[in-house]
Amino acid sequence: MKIKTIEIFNWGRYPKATIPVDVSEDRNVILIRARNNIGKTTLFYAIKYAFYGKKGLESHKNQHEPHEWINRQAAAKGDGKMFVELTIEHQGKEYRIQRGFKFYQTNTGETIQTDGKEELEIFDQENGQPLTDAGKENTTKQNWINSMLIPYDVSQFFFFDGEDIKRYTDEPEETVKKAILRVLGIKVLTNTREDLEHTQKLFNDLYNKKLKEKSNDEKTKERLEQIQKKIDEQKSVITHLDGAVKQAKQLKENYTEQLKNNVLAQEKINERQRIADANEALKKNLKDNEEILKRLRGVSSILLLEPLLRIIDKTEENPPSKDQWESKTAKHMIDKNFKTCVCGTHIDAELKEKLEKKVLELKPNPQAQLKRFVESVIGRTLPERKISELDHAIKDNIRIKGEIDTNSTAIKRINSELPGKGSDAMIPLLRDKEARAEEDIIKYGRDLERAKDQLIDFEKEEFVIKRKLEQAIDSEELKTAENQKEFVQKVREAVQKTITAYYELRKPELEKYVSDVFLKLVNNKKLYTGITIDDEWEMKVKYYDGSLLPTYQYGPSSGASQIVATAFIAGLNKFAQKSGPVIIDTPLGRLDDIHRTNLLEYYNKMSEQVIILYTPTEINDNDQVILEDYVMKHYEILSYDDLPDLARIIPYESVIQ
Amino acid sequence: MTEAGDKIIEIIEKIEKEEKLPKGILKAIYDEELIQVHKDIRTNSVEKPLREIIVKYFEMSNED
Repeated sequence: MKIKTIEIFNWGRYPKATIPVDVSEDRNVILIRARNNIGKTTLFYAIKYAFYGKKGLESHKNQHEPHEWINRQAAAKGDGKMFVELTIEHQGKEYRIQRGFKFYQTNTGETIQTDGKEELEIFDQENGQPLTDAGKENTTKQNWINSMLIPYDVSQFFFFDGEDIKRYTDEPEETVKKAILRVLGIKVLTNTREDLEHTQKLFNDLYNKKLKEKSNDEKTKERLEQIQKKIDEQKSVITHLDGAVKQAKQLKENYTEQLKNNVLAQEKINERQRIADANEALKKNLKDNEEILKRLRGVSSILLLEPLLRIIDKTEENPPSKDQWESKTAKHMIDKNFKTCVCGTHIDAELKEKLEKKVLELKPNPQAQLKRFVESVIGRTLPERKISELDHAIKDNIRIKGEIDTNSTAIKRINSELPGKGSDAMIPLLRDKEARAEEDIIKYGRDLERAKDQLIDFEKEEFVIKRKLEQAIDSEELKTAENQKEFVQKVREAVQKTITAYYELRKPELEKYVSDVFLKLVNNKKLYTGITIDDEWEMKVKYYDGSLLPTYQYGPSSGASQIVATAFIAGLNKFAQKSGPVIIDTPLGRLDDIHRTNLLEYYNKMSEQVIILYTPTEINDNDQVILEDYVMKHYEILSYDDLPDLARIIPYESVIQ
Repeated sequence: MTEAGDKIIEIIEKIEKEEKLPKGILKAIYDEELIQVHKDIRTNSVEKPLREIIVKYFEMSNED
């Protein structure tokens, strides 16, 4: 399927726009360039709306209703119509899909009112008439679009936001898994398997009915009815037990998850306690520190005078302090008739003479008195040491307070992460529930096995009874019914083998294709050897050393995830049962230059028609050269000069035109 | 049908041959299911066509 023309009328910012987007085999890329908030994403959703109606708008952040996309200026002017129309080519034929609403005049700022009746038409372009195959109702027309073109849930692999696709690199949600099975055609096979099971039951019932009709052996027929009733009851029991096992497994999984969260929470609680204890010790240190500061405040006068004391202490006297001290000491020793000098030498006549020469005429001197006083104060109070002590105490005070603050912040953070979790009582309770769920799994599992064994016995008994009845009957009708029954069984088994064969043959091919694309796109090719896809469709990146990493761990950045997701989508497109255009909004987002170049070189291979809606920062003039040989048309979305709220689409004059 | 769709048909035809089923039966069932798979809600509307296909190909296999 290819889109040939897009026409929009009163949609979003567009009063009216017609965009030819047909491509050729060689030139299969359409580029549409727009700055942010001009109308690029509006155009993207117009296409989705045309195909899927309101459902196509579900993935938008805010606007999920068609009336939210009606052009406000048009509605303010008067009653009118909004529609989106796509002219498409599918399997050699051309169709036109038109979808829209009538709306009523609505003042700006109010919710735009519509007539509530969405109009959906599919025209056969050969005769211009509504396509009869699509039926008359919107539901049948939508079914036609889903079955003949691209089904809605599969469209996520064809029409996507380049940044949004990284979600496929996470563990796929159930809805995504189902879409993957559908796009690959596996869903058809699994549905077939289910439906044939039901069909087989019908043929079995038919056979049983014939058997009872043709036989005259009432006693054996009654036994057959009884055993068949037991078989039906036993099947109900098995269904119930199967459900019970599944439920118990689910419960256990939930408890295990909760336990994990609570254990993690408990670790946080322990951490919080450790920090709280550390804070208590710090607070005690702070108290001691404040005592030191208090004590030092008691000698604050000395501390304040310390610089002055130091100056006085260093000031030299006249006569010098040393001579004055020697004079006083010598006079004291002479007056007291010391026999031995303070230095330990015996004082003889000669030494006495020397000592007498040292004695000076010292007059009372205020400066000398002051200096003696200062020397005495310094000797007693040691102000330098006290200054140093004060400095340490202040620094310690600041440090301790800082650590207490940091710890308090950490405690607050832990508390905010813990609401409702991790109480001491929860963990043993959850462990108990988990253990009981495990016991239930085992118990129901055992009961299920026993019930299945019992069913086998009943079925064997049924078989014997039927054989007895059959042997007594000679009827072509019965033989035919039996053969039909066996035929259906054979067809069922063949379908199962088809599913197995698909997984054995095609899934490895898909995996290889995705790997090859991934290796083309990735920037460090020596590091990786490819991608694996498990049976749950979860992807892992293979490293050169053989190790495997889930894709979200390979590249937690959205750029790396985008590469993996693009490779996966390329694989799904290649292996899809349906073909269609690939339409990408914001293709290159936050990628580095190597990844961008690799992706740009690859995009034209993704489908027979690729429409890229980009911003100028994503694809610049140099990048456009890469696409040069593949671009059929290049457009730009601009606002009107006099009406900046409205948008128009014009051909873009670029390097590659 | 895409190339991928053709590959599924190939597998189906191969299994038909291996299991000695009448030629075309699996494809006929597959085509019928293909119409249904895209509906939002599956109904039992495939029941009658499936039964008819089974009966038709059963008779063909008996003639062979």
